[in-house]
Amino acid sequence: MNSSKRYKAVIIGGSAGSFSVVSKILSKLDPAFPIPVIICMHRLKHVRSGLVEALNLRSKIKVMEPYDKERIGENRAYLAPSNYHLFIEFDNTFHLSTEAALNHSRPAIDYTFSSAAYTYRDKALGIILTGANKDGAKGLKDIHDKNGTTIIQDPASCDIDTMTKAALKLFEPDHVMTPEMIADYLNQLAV
Amino acid sequence: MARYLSKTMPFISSTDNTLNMGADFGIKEVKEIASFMAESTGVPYDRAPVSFMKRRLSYIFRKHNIRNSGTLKEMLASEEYREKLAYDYPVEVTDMFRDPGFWRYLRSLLKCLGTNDTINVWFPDVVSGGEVFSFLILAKELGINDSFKIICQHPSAGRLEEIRKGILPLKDIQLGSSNYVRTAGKGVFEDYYSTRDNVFVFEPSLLKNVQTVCGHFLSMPPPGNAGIVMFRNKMLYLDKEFSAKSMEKLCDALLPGGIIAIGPRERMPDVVAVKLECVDDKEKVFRKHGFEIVWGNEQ
Repeated sequence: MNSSKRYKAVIIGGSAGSFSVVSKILSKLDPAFPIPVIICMHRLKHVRSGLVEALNLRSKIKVMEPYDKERIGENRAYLAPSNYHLFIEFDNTFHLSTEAALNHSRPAIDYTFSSAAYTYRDKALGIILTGANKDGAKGLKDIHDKNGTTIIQDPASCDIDTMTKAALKLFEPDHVMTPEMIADYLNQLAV
Repeated sequence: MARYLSKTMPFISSTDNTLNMGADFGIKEVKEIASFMAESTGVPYDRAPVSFMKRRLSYIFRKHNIRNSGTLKEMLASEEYREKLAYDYPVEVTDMFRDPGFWRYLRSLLKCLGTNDTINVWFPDVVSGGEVFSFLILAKELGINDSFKIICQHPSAGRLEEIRKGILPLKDIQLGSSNYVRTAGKGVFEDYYSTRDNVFVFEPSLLKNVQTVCGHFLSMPPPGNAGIVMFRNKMLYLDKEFSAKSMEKLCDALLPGGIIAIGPRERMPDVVAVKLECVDDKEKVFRKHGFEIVWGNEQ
């Protein structure tokens, strides 16, 4: 098992059905989990509040929506804000963008995964969850191609498996796991 | 510089780089190319977050069918290409009434505007007309559109021409329409535009008080004192130092009591924040200290 120092960030992408999965993972994390968790979920463009508050209800670590140019800190989860793409800069800060939607999505999971791949390379841990389109599959492959670690939620445990199956078509991940297994795996990184 | 500008980029078809992340540019190359672009044009292309420059250069190389940076250098000698670059490089913000909560708040402010003087509304870096037309519709529905002179500034003459003509290359007019409803607009959104040659053309009478200024706002004096400055989601594409420098210039051009709006996920640089009062933290609307422009019953 890799130590927590190996990874610079855990990056999670999900769409339809993923709120409950993300919420479950965050609720099972060790409260001292040190690695930044960066979450990109498809969400309504015009609803800016509510999601981060809902995740905070059960999360063991603080969940927040980052501002542009905000420094990425430990023991925090960051949720991509509504109607902005979320990128990771080379100085370990967030960069938000209003560039055109990708895969009909803003935030687009592909962008967040891919920028994490280029910034953190083998120190990125990417996780793709349930969802109803293919967004995220190519970005997660970028993490895989840069020798980062990749986890795909077991399609049998997904509400909608389009996203996870799209990723499985592109490459062989390091792990295919249920949400419970993902939470256990992350906690072992913190030991 | 020459070493980089003569180098052939191992570039990049739309099939092998579909995410447009600029994978084949190194950071040093990105900075050098952007620096050369800035020197050639006077537009600070080199003062953006590195990942954005990387991604955007990748986009420009593909869109303009440029295979190496030497070619780009040659093309930049042409005024026609410099205009094309200024037109294509910046990020379009085509959403009309993006963030309906902001527009509702702005309406509440404009309603209690306590002056009969014409107020300059300055859009210092306006890529496309989405926010300009949104403001004009809001003012028209309040019956105060003649209270404002709208000043639109950008380095691309082509972008400004589109705004003067009321053209908006909207991909999704439905989003503008639904945002308008959420803004609690008083009219029928579809009455404000017609469709022509695959673009949307806004009602010409809305545009009568619009003036344009071609050039980058940091390289020119401000076009008069402004009562309102609209700079929403523009600092996203500037580095931290340049964001502060830009905001200082915009704040200096703002009349006492005037307001400036930034994006809801942007932070006002500290150096400028001391000169301003935050009047709506959620929508990031700030008011300059002083009372030359009066809102409602204050003073």
